Amino acid sequence: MTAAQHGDREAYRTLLDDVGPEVERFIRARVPAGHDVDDVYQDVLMALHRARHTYQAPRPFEPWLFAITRHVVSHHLRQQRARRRIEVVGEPTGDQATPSVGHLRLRVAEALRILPRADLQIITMLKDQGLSTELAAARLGTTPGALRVRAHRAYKRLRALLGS
Amino acid sequence: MPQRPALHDTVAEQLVADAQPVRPLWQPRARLVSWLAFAGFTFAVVAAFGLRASVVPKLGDVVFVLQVVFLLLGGATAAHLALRAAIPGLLLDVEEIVVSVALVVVGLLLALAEPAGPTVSAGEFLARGIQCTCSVLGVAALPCALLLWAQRRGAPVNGRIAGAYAGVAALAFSAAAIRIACPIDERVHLAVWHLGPIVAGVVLSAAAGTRWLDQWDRTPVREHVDRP
Repeated sequence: MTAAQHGDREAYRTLLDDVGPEVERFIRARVPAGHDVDDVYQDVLMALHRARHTYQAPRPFEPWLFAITRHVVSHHLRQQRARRRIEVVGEPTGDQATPSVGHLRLRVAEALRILPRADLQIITMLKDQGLSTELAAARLGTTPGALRVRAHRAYKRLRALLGS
Repeated sequence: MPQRPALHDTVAEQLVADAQPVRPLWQPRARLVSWLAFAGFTFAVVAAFGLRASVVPKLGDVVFVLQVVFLLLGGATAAHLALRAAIPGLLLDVEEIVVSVALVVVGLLLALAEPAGPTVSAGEFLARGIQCTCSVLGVAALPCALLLWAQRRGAPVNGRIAGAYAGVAALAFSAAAIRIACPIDERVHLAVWHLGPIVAGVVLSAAAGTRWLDQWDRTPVREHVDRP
């Protein structure tokens, strides 16, 4: 990890390859069946990447790694619970099979509120501000291809939140 | 060789491509020294410009001196805990937590052990008290913000707890500073206008921690990767 902090890409890759199976086992042991383990796994690796400056040699590496993993897993579980609450609240009753416009607005607003900030930013740029993919990508410092992938995932999350 | 998750190679490739050298965060003790220097400076400013007239005779009062010393020591240990809370996997020492809380609580209880004073009008009680409350919160604001900023440079895995420690640290220092500035040694005044803002400030700081410190793992790295 110390070598990775100094920008040694080979050491970093070896480290990520080594911790991958351990992290996945940790996630599978804590995330109930039916949850998207791949998404959580990806979030853990990205969190590890963002927090790599906080590792302090020569302290043991595992407590640092699993504290980050636990943090991401708990956030994921909290978010799932919030989504389920919305689904329960948003479920139309028998005598109200077609939800009203106000009801739909409420659901959309609630879904946007708990959508990850990065997803909300992309949706706002593309759908609200009407920016082209190229322009939005330039503003976010990424490539149009990567932005399309991120947008696709953001829409997917929003659809999941809206339960359609 | 253990099986790696299907997504692993795609994610790892992008992260490795983004792996610029990073400067490791300073050790919590080194960061604590920087924070104590700043908090000490604010304490010195209050002492220089707002020292109570009766400070010399009060320095002979053991209970008064202990209040200030306990609050300062409690604030310093809480700041150390706050900075440790910004590093994942760095277990918070239970003994240090107990010592920190005990120092602050004893400091505050000693303040509440001061004798009750003569009855004052509600208007006077309010006017003098609001000034103290504003001072306690105002003097704590910058050290607290600095501590929260220092925590945000790390990766706190429990934002609420980290924020609460930051609040305790800054407010204990501030309460000690205002104790040597405020000329009123009356227990109801101290309970309402000195202790009250500490409790409220810690709650606010914990809320700020939940809101502001828990987000470090949700900002985009550079590119979000899709499954292969």
